[in-house]
Amino acid sequence: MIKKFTFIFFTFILLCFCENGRIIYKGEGIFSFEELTVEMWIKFNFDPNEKTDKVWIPKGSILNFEIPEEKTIFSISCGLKAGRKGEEDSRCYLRIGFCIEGKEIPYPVLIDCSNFSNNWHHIAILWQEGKKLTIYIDGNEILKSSLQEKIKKDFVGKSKLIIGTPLVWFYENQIEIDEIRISSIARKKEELSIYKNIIDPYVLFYENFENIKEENGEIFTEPYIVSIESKGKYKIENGKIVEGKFGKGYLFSK
Amino acid sequence: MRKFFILFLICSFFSFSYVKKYEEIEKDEFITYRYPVIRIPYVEKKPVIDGIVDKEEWGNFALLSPLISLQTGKMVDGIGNIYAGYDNENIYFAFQFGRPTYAGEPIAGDEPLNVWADDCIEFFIRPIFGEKWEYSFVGNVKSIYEEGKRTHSTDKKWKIKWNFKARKTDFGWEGEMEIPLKDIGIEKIEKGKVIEIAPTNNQKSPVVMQSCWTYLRDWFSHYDFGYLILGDKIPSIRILKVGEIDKNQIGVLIEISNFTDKKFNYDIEIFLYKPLLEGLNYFKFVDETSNPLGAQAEVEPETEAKDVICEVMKKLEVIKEYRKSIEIGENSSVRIPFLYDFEGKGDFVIYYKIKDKNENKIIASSAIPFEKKLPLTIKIIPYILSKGILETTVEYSKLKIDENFNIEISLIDDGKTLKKLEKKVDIENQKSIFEIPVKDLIPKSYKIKCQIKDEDKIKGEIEEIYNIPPIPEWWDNKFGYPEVYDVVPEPWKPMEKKKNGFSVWNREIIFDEINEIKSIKNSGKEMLTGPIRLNFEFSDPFEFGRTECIESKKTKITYKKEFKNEKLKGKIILENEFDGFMKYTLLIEPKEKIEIKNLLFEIPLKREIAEYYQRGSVGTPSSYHESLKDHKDYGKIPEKGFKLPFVEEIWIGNEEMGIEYVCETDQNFSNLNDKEVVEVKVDGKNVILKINFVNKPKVIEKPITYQWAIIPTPVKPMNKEFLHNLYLTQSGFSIEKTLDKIPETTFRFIDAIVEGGANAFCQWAWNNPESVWNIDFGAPGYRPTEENKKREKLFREIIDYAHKKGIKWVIIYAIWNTYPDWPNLKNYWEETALYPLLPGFGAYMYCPQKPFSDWYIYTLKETIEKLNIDGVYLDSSAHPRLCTNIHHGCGYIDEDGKVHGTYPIFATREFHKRIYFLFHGGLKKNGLVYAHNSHFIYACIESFVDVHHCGEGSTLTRDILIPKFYGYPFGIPVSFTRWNNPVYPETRMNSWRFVLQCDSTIKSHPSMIISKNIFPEYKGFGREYYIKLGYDTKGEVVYKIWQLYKKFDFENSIWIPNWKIEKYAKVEDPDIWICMHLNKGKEAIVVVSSFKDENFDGFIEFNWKEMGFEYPKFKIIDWIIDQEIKPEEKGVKLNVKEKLFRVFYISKD
Repeated sequence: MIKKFTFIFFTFILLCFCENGRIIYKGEGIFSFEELTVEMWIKFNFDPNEKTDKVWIPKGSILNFEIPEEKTIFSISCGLKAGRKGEEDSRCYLRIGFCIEGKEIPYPVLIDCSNFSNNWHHIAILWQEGKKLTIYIDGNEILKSSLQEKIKKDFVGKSKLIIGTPLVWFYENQIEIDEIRISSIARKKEELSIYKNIIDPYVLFYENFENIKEENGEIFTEPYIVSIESKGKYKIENGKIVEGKFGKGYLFSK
Repeated sequence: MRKFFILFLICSFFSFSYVKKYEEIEKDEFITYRYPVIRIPYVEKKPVIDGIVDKEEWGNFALLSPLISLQTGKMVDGIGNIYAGYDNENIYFAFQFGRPTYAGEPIAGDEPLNVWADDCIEFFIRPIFGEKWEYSFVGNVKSIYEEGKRTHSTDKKWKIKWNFKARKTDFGWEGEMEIPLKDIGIEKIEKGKVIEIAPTNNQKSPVVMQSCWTYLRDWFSHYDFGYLILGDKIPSIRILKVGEIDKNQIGVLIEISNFTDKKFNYDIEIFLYKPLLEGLNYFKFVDETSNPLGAQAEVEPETEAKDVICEVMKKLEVIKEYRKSIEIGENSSVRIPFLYDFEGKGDFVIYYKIKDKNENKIIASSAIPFEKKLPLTIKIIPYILSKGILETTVEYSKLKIDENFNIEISLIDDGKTLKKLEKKVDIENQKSIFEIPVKDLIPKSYKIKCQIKDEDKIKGEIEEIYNIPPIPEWWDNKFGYPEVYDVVPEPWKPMEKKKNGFSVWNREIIFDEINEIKSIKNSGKEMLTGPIRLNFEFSDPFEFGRTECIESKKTKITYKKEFKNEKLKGKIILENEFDGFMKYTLLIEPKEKIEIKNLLFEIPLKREIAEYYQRGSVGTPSSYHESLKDHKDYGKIPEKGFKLPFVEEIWIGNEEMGIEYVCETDQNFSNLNDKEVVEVKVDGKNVILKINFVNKPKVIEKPITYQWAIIPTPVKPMNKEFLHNLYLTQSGFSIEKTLDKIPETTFRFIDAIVEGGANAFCQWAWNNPESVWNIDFGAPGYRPTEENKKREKLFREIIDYAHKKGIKWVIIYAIWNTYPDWPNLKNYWEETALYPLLPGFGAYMYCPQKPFSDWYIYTLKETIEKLNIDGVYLDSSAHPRLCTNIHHGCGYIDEDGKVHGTYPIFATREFHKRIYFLFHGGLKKNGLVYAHNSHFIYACIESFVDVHHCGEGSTLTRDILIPKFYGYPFGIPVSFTRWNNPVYPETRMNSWRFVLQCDSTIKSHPSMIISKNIFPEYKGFGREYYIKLGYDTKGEVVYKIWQLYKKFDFENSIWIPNWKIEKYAKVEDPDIWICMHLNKGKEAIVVVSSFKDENFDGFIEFNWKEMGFEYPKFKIIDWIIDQEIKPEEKGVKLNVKEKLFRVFYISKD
């Protein structure tokens, strides 16, 4: 019993401080809860057909936008979830969640991605009018819905965008990512970056991991950021630069 | 001379001085501290003027700095956006104006020449710099617009052709404008051309409030217009946010969007100022400063801006400044966030200037005064009808508070405080809720002001204007109440008071000497084995008074019995209604602290009656969703009986009769074991239903009430017409999209469904242009619009035609929601909604307490009168949904402060009673209330429906057939809804095997009954297709069943369910069920159903003699496949496919 406890304890400590990757960008001016498109290419480094009988097993954290002072978070992650019949019904989901001023918006959006192969997939999350959500996977509309509550329409001040693992995360982050683009409008289908990959005046943030530099043993990236005060290089904490969808990409786990 | 001097003084006093404006603004850039400037881009793609300000469409247009209130001289709260751009032909503007959440619809008429009196945009454009006239372009939310030329009044004879479209939005309204340049005198486009503009939100409601892009010192102040400069193909400047960026930051966020393929270099300057004088109105101060010698002196009419602003700056402190040169790349954007950390409240001025570095031209500049308020938010929900209050929630989570702070709320009329409430702040919840009484106030606008104080120091405050609406005409209407007229609706008979009790249809209630119910005779049979006991005990003995009959009408008989001792008094009221409903109210009023030792209610039933049970939701959680976790159960009563926590409903009975108990709330219950509140005890020949209201002593010092009810079933005589001769088909009638006529195919459709056997039609609510009924899903009437008036007229024509052709009942889908935007409901909708709010189909789930039901009945009554409909399809209304809306009579907060929902059973019953009465004696007779309810039959509510329509998605299992699906013990015909849909566990054909065993049918769709031979254009398979399939899981037999039922003489037949069939038919296999309608010796309908997973091939024994037939002098036809079956002396050899059935018609030769 003591041995088991010790093993769990140290695994816990290890995982807390394990070398999951992240990049923390300044978020000022690059997010609006009125209208937005968030796109990226992701690849699972785990088997999405893996089963569980648990309510939720996180497998990867992809992106978090946080306004710490207001306890507001928007997050995209993925994991495994048991269904009504337990392990038999277990599926792999992409989870899009909102926590506004400390309160979680009920019913985070879950997109079944059990049929994802271990190849690159394009994800696009659009919303409009503060509550209408549309999700595309590989250019196909998968979900169109409305959140129960309208998220406050606001251009946020002090905030951060975390690509990869949040500061507190107890699991291995088994995702590779590339071509992250955030736009200030809800893109039409034909304008999604799966079809058209350009910087235009609607792009607020674009990270393709092509602008990588090494300095004093640390690795930095310099994305396209619309906010003039946020331009510059950002440290890549842990993880690994790998072959991405186009050119280089980023694997969150070592 | 003296007179002349005085006259001069007077004239001087009224003369203003101005900051001097130059057409070329770079001559004195300080002008921009008073007048805003925007250089707008030349755009390649013109916008579509459709009223929708699409973000992408207006993405490359300039977004001007926010509007300034002409009342306060500060930036408006909420949204005030103006977009601008131009091309070779037109200048384009879009606008977005916010309105407070409590505000009603913008005032908007239909007459263009009166549009100035509406809530409108007034866009002033002065194309010639410095002239003393301008053009005025005005429009309202209905897209009614006009134009004029203004000097000191507006000449409306001036006309041009321009384009305007607007629409209502959830934040207020928005719109788009397209104005031809040449028509405002700009024949030739010159880059750098200066046009002066003053786009204004001229808001008239809920209060008059004007705001403009530039500060106008008065309405005719031509001089104060801002600068709009026609730029080249340049980046657009977009002022995204000014003022409070978040709770602890102020500043500005500027975006420069470059849609060109050139780079640009801009110099950016931003300053944040804090006025040194408290309460400084910045623009007024600038204007006053431009007149340094004061009104009494001779003054220059214009003063150089740089001189004025230098003086102004002495009264402003620079808090933060920003200077930067930036490059904007081709086809990209840059955002400049200028942020300053600041907590607390205060007045500030932000000034920005963007200049093209290379051309040394100002691109955009403005000074924007704003107020950072202390972060309180206020939300007002009216409960004017239910409770005469405004529930006002003030939230202060963003404010640092101390537990000693007080929060004060006042209702003010014209400066006079009418109501004031005060309490300590709630540290834990960070909000306070007030109930401001408004019952005695006249409908008009009031100010609600809230302050958080630390003794006398204000730490936070907020004000809001609230418009108390007038009481609506539908409130408190008496439509649909049979008690009001004391008219007993069909099919019941008037109540009869007897010496020791009373009687209603089919039931007699007798009281004993202590006036407890000692006997319930139901269909002539005694249900009870002893009296129904209501036992309660206090710490001290008490005495009962005598029982009085306090009301005796045809519809209602009420008894009252009082009790008392030295420490308390109380009463029991028993209200009995014409359908057998008996409602108990126990009121206990202590004079001092007393203890209730116990309180229990017992119904002892005969064992042979108490065979089955069904029960509703467990507990009183805090939301409807939670209540669904355990909300139903059915089955046979086990020999050991069972115990339950609090349940809102339980019915106990057998295939003929039963008794239902209901209770809305567990408030004031006190139990030793929360899991043993309801007991069903089996004790030899008795089954006792016991409700433990209190079995753990409870101390009270204030009055408390317990309320519950029982109803013996069946509640009314089974309506045989609806049971066997209702041939209902469901779909929708079509009209032309233009709403001006009915296509010929609609009439042919009616002919075809009549030919197919239908005598009832259910019109669904589709949201499509061809639909004749409501695009507002579930509404009891048409929303008052011009399109709906046309629909109504056509629908009436269709209904008249259907009636003429033999459709006896045309019913409409008519319940689901309450509507926040319905014209005569929107001011009160929160009082009508289920809480917590449950959104659905663009609206919210309703609660049938009085506000909603009054509105609904009022609207439905109008619909019946206008359309002559014969009934309604009620979707899921018969099952009471848990609600926490305390103000309209639901929910409660327990001693620990926890919110509990309650089940509005009595309100749901009253609601259905009213609907029922409208169709059964009130407005119409022999109507059809078709209630879709996939739960069990809720007897005390569905007493007031004509058909219980069930089975949606249900698993149809035999062991719960009687308690869940069988109509006879309740007196209510049952019909099923089943579709061939992956959600269902089986196909319709599989379901028929079960449904027929319930003496029921499955609702049809027209495609199942219409003949393609007669109506070939009909888009559906048609009945021929299904008939051909016969007994196939993809088949459909409703047409054939209807034909059989029409032929059969049900009047002279008996119904023999499977559990009574042994005398007439037998089969070894328990998974083969047989049931029968038998007209002895003449005809019979026999259904053999297989509940097996494989085909059955066997022999069914029939006792022909018992059935009245002489072998072999009768014929057996398989009705579905039109095949004769050869009988044998003892029965028939038969095969039945797995999970299917056979239907025979037997007739004498």
